[in-house]
Amino acid sequence: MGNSLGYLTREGLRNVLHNRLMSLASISVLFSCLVMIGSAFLVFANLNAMIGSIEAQNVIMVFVKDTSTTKQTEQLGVEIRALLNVESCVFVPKEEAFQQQIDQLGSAAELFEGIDNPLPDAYKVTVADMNNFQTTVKNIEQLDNVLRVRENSDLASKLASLKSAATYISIGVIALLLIVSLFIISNTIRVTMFSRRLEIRIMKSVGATSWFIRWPFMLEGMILGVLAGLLAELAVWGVYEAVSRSLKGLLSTLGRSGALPFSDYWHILLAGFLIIGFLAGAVGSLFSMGKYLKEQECAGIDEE
Amino acid sequence: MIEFINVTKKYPNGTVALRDVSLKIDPGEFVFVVGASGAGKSTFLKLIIREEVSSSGIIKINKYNLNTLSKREIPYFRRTMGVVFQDFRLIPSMNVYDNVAFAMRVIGAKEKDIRKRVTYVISLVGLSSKARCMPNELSGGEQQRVSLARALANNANLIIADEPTGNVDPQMSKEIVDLFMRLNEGGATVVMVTHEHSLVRCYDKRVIILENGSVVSDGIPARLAPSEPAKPPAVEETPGPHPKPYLPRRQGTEITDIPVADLLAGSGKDGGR
Repeated sequence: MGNSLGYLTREGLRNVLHNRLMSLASISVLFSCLVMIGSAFLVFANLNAMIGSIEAQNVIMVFVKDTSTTKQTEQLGVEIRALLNVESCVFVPKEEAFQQQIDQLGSAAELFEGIDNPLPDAYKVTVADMNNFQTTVKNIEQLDNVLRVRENSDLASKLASLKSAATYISIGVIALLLIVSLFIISNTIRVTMFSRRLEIRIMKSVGATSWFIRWPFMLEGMILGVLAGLLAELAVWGVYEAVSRSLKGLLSTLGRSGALPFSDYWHILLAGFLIIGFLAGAVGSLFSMGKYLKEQECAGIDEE
Repeated sequence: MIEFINVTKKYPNGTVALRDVSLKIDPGEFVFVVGASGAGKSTFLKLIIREEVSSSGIIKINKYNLNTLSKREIPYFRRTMGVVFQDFRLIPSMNVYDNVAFAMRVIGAKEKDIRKRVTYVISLVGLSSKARCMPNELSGGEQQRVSLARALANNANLIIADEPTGNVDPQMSKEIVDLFMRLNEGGATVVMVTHEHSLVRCYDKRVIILENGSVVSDGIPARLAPSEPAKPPAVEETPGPHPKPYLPRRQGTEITDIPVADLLAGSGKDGGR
C-alpha cells in the first residue's frame, strides 16, 4: 500500500505538469469562483462593520427623575445593566451633559449663561441585538426612577432588517458560488479524465482497482485547488486594496474612516480558500471519477 | 485453468456472438483461437478477461468463477493473467520501462522488485536498448513486444494474446509467436487469438476454430509443410473434448528463473522500426 501511495502521489504531481492546459483550465475556473467568494465575504464584512458602527450610534438615552437620590440613580444603573440585551450602560451626569450641549452650541452658548442646568442625569445604553431593541426599551421604561426614555426605534428596526438581509444574501451568494465551483471543478476534472480515458482503460485492463485509478486524479484536483486558493488570496488582496483606496472618499461621507483593513481578514480568507480549494478538488474529482468509472463499467471498458 | 461450459453471449442488440461454447484449456497448454471476423474471437477474449459477462453458461478461470465474480474482485482476477492487446494499449506519456513497470505498480509491488523484474522482462523481449524510448518512437512490432513485456511483468501463468501479430510483418509475426512458444515452454499457459491460419499451421499446437460463435474444430492440426508429410490430426492423438497440453509445464519454474539466453535464442534481437 505504501509503495502504491508513493507512486500514485508522484503520478498526481506529474499529471499536474503533464496536463498543463487542463490544469490551467481547472485552476482558472476555481480561481474565479474563489475570488467571487472572497469578494462576497469582504463586502459582507464591510457592510456588517458599517451597520455595526451605525448601531453603536443608535443609543437609548434613559433620563433619571430629578427627585431620585444618588443611591436610587445608582440602583437604576445596576438594574439596567442586569437587563438582557443591554451591551453597555454609561452614566452621564447632568453637568457633563450640559457642558456637552454648550460645547456643541459654540458661540450661541452665551444664551445659556446664567441659566440653571435644566438637564437630568442620564444613562447611555447600547443594545446587543437590534432585533430586540423595542423589548429592551419597554423593559427600561418599567424600571423605577425613569423619567423618560429617548430612542430611535425606527432606525433600529431598519438596521436590524438590513443586517439580516445582508447576512442571508451573503450566505446565499457564498453557498451558491461554492456549489458552482464544485460543479465546475468536477466537470473540468471529468474532461481531464475523458482526455485520459485510454490511460484509465489500460489501468483497468491490467488489474488496477478503482482507488488506484482515483487517487492520482484526486490528488491532482487537490493540488489544483490549493494552487487556485493561493492565487485567489493574492488577487483578492490586490483588488481589495485598490477598491478600498478608491472608495475611501465615499466611505468617509458615510462616517467611516475607510474599508476594513485586509490584514484583519487575510488569514481567514487564506484558510477558507485553501480549505475550499482542497475540498472542491478532492470532492469534485471523487464525484466525477466515480461517475465516469460507473459509466465505463456500463459501457464496457473496451469502448473508445 | 480456463473452462467454458455451455457459454452463450448475446449482446443487447440481439447479436449472438458465442453459442453454447464448451471447452477446457489446461495449465501449460498453448492454444490458438482462430476465426474470421465476426466469428466470436473478440467476445471470447472479452469474456476471459471479464470485459464482458456471459448471457448463459459457466466460465471458470484461474479458480475464479466469473459468473459469481463481484466488481470488487475483478481487478484481482485480472492480475492473475497477462494480456497482450492487438492495439498494444501502451500509455503514450510513459516510456517503455514505465509502461511495463505500470502493471507491477498497479499491484503495489516494491520499487526494488519492479526494477529487477522490469529490466528482466524488457531484456526478454529484446528491448533493453529502448527502455527509455516513448511508444511513438517504436515500430509496431516493438510496441507489441512492450505490450508482451507488460503482460509478463507480474509473472502471470496465463498469457492471453489478442491478434499479437496483427500489426507486424510476417518475420516479426514469427518472432512474436516464437517468443510465446518459449514462454509456454517455461510453463505459462498461452491463449493466442489470431485470424492468420497460415501462421497457426507452422506450429504443432492446439487450435480452436470459431465460426459464427460456435466451436467448429478443436485439436492439434497436422503441420502443413511441403517437405514433410502431414501429421495425424491432433484430435486423434489426444481423444476427448480437452486435449492434453502439447508440452508439459515445468512445475515450480518462474519466468525470472529462466535464463534470458535460453528463452531468446534466435529471437531476442531488437526489431527494426
